[in-house]
Amino acid sequence: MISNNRPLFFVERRRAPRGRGPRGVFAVLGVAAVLLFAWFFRAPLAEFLVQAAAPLLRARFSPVLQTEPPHDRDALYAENLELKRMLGRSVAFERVLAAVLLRPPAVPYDTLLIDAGSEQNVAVGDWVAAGGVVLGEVSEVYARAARVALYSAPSSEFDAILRRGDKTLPITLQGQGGGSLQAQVPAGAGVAVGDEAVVPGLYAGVVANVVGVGAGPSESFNAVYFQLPLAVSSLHFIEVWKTPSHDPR
Amino acid sequence: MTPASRYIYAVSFVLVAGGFLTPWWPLSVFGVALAALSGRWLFGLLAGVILDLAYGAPTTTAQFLFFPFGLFALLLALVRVVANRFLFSRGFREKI
Repeated sequence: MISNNRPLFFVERRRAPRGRGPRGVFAVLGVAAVLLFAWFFRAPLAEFLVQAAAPLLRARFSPVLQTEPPHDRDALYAENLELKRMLGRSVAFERVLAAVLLRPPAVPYDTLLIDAGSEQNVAVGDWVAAGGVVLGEVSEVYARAARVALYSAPSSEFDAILRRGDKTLPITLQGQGGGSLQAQVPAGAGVAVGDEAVVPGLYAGVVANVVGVGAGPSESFNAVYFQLPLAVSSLHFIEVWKTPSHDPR
Repeated sequence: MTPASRYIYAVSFVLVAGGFLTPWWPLSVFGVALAALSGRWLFGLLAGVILDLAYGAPTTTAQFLFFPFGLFALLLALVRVVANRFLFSRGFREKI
C-alpha cells in the first residue's frame, strides 16, 4: 500500500494550486464596484476631498501677491477702458478673486484648482486671468472650489487674434503643455518675436507672446511658438472674470 | 499583517502623500506603483482613485480615461499576476 505522502517512483510533483476562480470573481467585482462608485459620485467625492485638503493646501502654498503688471501696460489699459466708456461700451468685468490651491507641477495636467466655486458665483466657461493675462477657463465648479483648464494644456485649441502693431491676424492656438502654445500662420505674414496673441472680443486680453517662428508643415505655412507671459508654477492668486453679456463667445 | 507588509503600506502612503503635498506628482506615481507591484493592489487602486479625484480628469486626449492613476494601479497589478504566473512560477522538480 502506497502512502499518499510518499512520492511515486521518486518523482516529486508539486501539489496543484487551489482554485482561484471565486477569489478572482470577487476581485473583479470589487474593482468594478470601486470604479463605478467613483464614477457616479465623482463630483461630490472630489468636492469633499478639496474641502478637506483646502486648509492644508493654503498653508502649504502660502499666498504671495502676484507681481504688478508693467506701468505702461496699466496706462494703456486705463486709456482703453476710458475710451470704451466714452463710446458707450463698458468692458468692466465682475471679478472674483481666488487663491490657487493646486498648480503645476503639483498637478500632472495643465490645470489649476482654485478656492472659489458656485457660492462665489463662479460658473463653467468664466475666464481666469492673472496680472491682466488671460490664462484659461473654468472647466469644473464645486460649491467652494473650481478647476481651471489652462489654454496651454496639450491638445487644447482655441481661436485668438495675433496682433502686431495695428495689424491683426486670426489664428488657432494649440496648447503644447508647460505654458507653451503653437499656431500655424501663412508664410510671409511678418510675424516677429514679441507679437501678442489676444482673445477675440471687446476686452482683447493678452493670452501669450511670440517667442519663436519656425518652418511649418509646408512651405505655405510657418509655425509660430508662443509662451504664457507669466509662470503658472508661481501663481498664488488669480481673478475669475464673469463673462459679460455683450461678449460674442 | 507581516512586518514587511506594514513597511510597504507605510512607504507607499508616504510616497503618495508626499507627492501630493510637494510639487512633484511622480512621487505619488511611485507610491501607487509600489503598492500595486507588491501585491497590495486594493490599496494601490484606492490611492490611485483618490489621486484622480484630487487632480481631476486629464485635459489631453487621455481625458477619456477619467481615472488614469486607478487604471495604472490595476495595470501594474495585472502585470504582477502575469509575471508571477509566466516568469517566476516554480516548475516541476524532478529527481531520480
